[in-house]
Amino acid sequence: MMRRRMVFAFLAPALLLYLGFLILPAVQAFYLSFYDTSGFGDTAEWVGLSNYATLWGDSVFWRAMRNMALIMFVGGVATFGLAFLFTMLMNAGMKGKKLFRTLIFMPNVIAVVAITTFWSFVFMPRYGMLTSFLKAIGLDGIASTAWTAPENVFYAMMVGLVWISVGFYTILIMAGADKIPADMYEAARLEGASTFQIFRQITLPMIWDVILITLILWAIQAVKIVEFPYAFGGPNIDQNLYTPAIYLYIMGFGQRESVYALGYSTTIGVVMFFLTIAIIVLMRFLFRRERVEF
Amino acid sequence: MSDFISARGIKRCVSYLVVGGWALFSVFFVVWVVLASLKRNRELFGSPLSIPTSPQWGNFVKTWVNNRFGDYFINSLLVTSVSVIAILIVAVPAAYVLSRGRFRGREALSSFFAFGMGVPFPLLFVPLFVMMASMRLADTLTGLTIVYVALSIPFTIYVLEGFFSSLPSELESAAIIDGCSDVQVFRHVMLPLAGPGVATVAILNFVGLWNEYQLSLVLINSPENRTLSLGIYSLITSMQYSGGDWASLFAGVTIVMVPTLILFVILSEKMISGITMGGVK
Amino acid sequence: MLSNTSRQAIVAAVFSLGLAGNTGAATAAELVFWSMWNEPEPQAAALRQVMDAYTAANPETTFKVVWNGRQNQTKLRAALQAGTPVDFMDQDSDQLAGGLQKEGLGHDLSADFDQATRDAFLPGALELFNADGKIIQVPYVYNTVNFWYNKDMLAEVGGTVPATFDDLLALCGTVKAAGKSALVIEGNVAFYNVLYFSHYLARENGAGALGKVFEDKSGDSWKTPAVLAAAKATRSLWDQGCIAEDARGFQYPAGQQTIALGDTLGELVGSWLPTELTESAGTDFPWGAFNFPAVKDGVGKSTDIEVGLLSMMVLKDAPNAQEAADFVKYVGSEEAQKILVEASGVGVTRKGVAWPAALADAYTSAEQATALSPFGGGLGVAYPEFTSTILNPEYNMMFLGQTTPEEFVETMAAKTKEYWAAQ
Repeated sequence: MMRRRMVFAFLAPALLLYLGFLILPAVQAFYLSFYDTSGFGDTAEWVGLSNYATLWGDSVFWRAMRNMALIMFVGGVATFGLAFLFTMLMNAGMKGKKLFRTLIFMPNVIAVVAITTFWSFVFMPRYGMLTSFLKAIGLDGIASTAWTAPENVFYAMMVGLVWISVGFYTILIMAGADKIPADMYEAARLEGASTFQIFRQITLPMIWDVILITLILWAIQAVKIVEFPYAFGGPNIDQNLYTPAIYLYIMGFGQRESVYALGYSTTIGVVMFFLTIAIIVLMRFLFRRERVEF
Repeated sequence: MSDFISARGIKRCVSYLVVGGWALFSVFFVVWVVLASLKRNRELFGSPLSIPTSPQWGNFVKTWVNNRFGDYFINSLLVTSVSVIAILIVAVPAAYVLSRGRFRGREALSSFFAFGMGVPFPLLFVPLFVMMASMRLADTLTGLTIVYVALSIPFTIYVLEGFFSSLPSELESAAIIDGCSDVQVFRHVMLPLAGPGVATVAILNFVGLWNEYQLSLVLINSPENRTLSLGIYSLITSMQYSGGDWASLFAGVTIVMVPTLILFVILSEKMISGITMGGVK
Repeated sequence: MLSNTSRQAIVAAVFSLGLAGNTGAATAAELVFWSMWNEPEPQAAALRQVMDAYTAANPETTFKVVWNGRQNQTKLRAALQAGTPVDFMDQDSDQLAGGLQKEGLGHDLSADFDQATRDAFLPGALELFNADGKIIQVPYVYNTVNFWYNKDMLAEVGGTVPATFDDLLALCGTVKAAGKSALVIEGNVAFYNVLYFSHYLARENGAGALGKVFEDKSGDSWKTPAVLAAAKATRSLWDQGCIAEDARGFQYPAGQQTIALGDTLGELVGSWLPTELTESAGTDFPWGAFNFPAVKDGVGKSTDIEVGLLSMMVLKDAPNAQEAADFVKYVGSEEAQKILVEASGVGVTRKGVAWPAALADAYTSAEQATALSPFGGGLGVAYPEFTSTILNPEYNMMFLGQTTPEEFVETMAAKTKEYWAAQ
């Protein structure tokens, strides 16, 4: 069917670029995790697995991991719950579907810093939009809450994160759902199936592969997440907002304090990498199912 | 009229309320960003919800000229569009072969590409810079484009594989029986069917690269080679010591968001029409 | 873009040929300067003026500047690995001290600075980051840490500048009675908030007290009464109503904006504050500054200050080290320092060069300084990892009321012991 020559010609450019500019530097970087080095061209000192041992006992790292897990699970449930809800409602024969979909996705095309700044104006104590809004409807008691105080700031960040993620995952899931022939829906509707039943019995099984892809994407993004919480946290980011990738950045790339532990920082990256692989493998195993063809 | 009071009517109203409310909030956000870019800094903090009393168009002039956003705009447009085209040229065939081909090691190779998504980019900063410098590509837009293409491959292939593998195989078989060669099957049958998927990854990559700043921060130094997101980044970092000119920042953000918004509106239409085409059987 | 680049290249080539033709000197040097400023910033424009003035006087020396912005040192790290030639650079002095300087990558400038040149600096500024008596970095912008406040508001509420910490607490009451807050903080900027603690401790035990507490490897120094008293005193700023309760949630720069908006009297922060707030407070805002006041029975003076300097450093492997050293020396000259003040509104390091009007009190504070320490008593320079991952966040938790002062000192004692045991 498909000739060898074509397989080779189609794969070679991608494979070469991938090997040369991603795998090779990544291997070089991984190598650094066995060294103690600042990266300033000093003689790196071989320390074996000592960076890994330190990381295991590093409470800041575990706090970052905890935040990552919260984003993955709590944020994930919220994001996918809403994305499924929107897909379901919009596929139930809403008019203006295209427009709504476009608008829901829209925040994703805007620079993260604008979004985080917007949300910090929403949650800002005293002058913020949420406070003004709550005061306007007479809820002065709740209005005085400091939404961005240390105990709340992570969840404030999560609201904004879920908001943009919902847009992103809704279009991915809907792109899948749109491949389902329209007559299947009509037939089901004629038989009197409810919106939820249609979603459950038709949409969900038909787009199972899309769901798997999006779930894996979400998990990978949750492990690597850096930009949104980092920008939300401002120039001197609070540990309450650390994710592993932010911690990596803080330790290796000299932020406010001149911390230049490049070896240690790399170690965090290696752990993140293996975590991602584990997640991909685990999810592929968990969601192994017959592919639906039509 | 009776349709309105029926259970179905109420349900429909709720649907519109939920979806419409969410969509309206997006509009509110964009409008807020644009309004913020026309305010004075004092207004922005003191009354973030107000309409600017006297629109400060000067914020845009300042950002476009003094902060060189005009130059950055051209750089961004060049780097991003060349990168996206190159990504598609490289990744679409690879994803096709990986999802529809039958050869040994296909699964393994596919996973190998997927693992690239797990690599945290900060790991690559130092090695990539050294590599680029040795190829005399450090601080060039060409170098940045190559890196963008390479680093976007895993994600693009991963998403495209999903789209290709969900395409019906009957069409493929029929084309082969009709005497199409393997390349022709790809070119004339599978590629058009995968249109929506290709459009999706094109948009996602365009948006991602348009707003990307971490890699460009490492690879680009000269102000004349900066991209828009680096321009935004330098406005933000100038807040320390020089002071926050938030209004200009939002003017910058508005400049950055307009092209992606327009592009998305156009392409999302194309995506949807592509999907209906793909449904013909 | 391509044509643009090549056009620039041609122009540059023609230009340099012309220059070489003019001078015909073999000593012609183009110094490569990597800068922490972004091109549109006034500081960059001021430095450009300084360089032009230098080239006018020394036509054989020209400059190629890469305006990197604040991530300069981190970008330089990658560039050094790739062997990119750079002659000199600038960055926050404490970041340099913990970065390039600590790695031994700075060129020793001691021989270039004779006694008269050294004496021209404001007291202690040049020596603060000396390494074993050697001059590795040369400060050219000077920021002091003080309480920055609205002079008009202080007069309106009928308050006076506090001389002791108790006066400060009393002032809080006065301001509160007028319906305003005396102080504001940025909840997410732990390193600003730690300033309260390091200053209080320095007033009790003398300059650099925090460093001494940490360097007791048993961790027991944290459990001394003075340390607990400092933690409790800073926490009492909340109990006494100095800081409004909702300030816990302010994310930089929301807190400082309340000063511009007239809700708050002032903030303990660096002398960059008036510049940072120019856009929202206006250029005629009545800025004043006073030092952290004395505390009861303390040995530290209220003229001991914490400072944030910005320094230039000549790199060890600079292709034109001597020419770069001469220029860095020139940046400290009266002529250059005046340009910096006028064109960018910063405070500078040379004695006798007046700072901009808004920073007048800071100049006095620098001129009369009896001892200088970097931010947070200098702990961040010597032990950056400990400071950024343990001290700052733990202190911030206590300061914002998530843990008690007692818990804070216990944790710090344990963490300090742990830190030294691992070394």
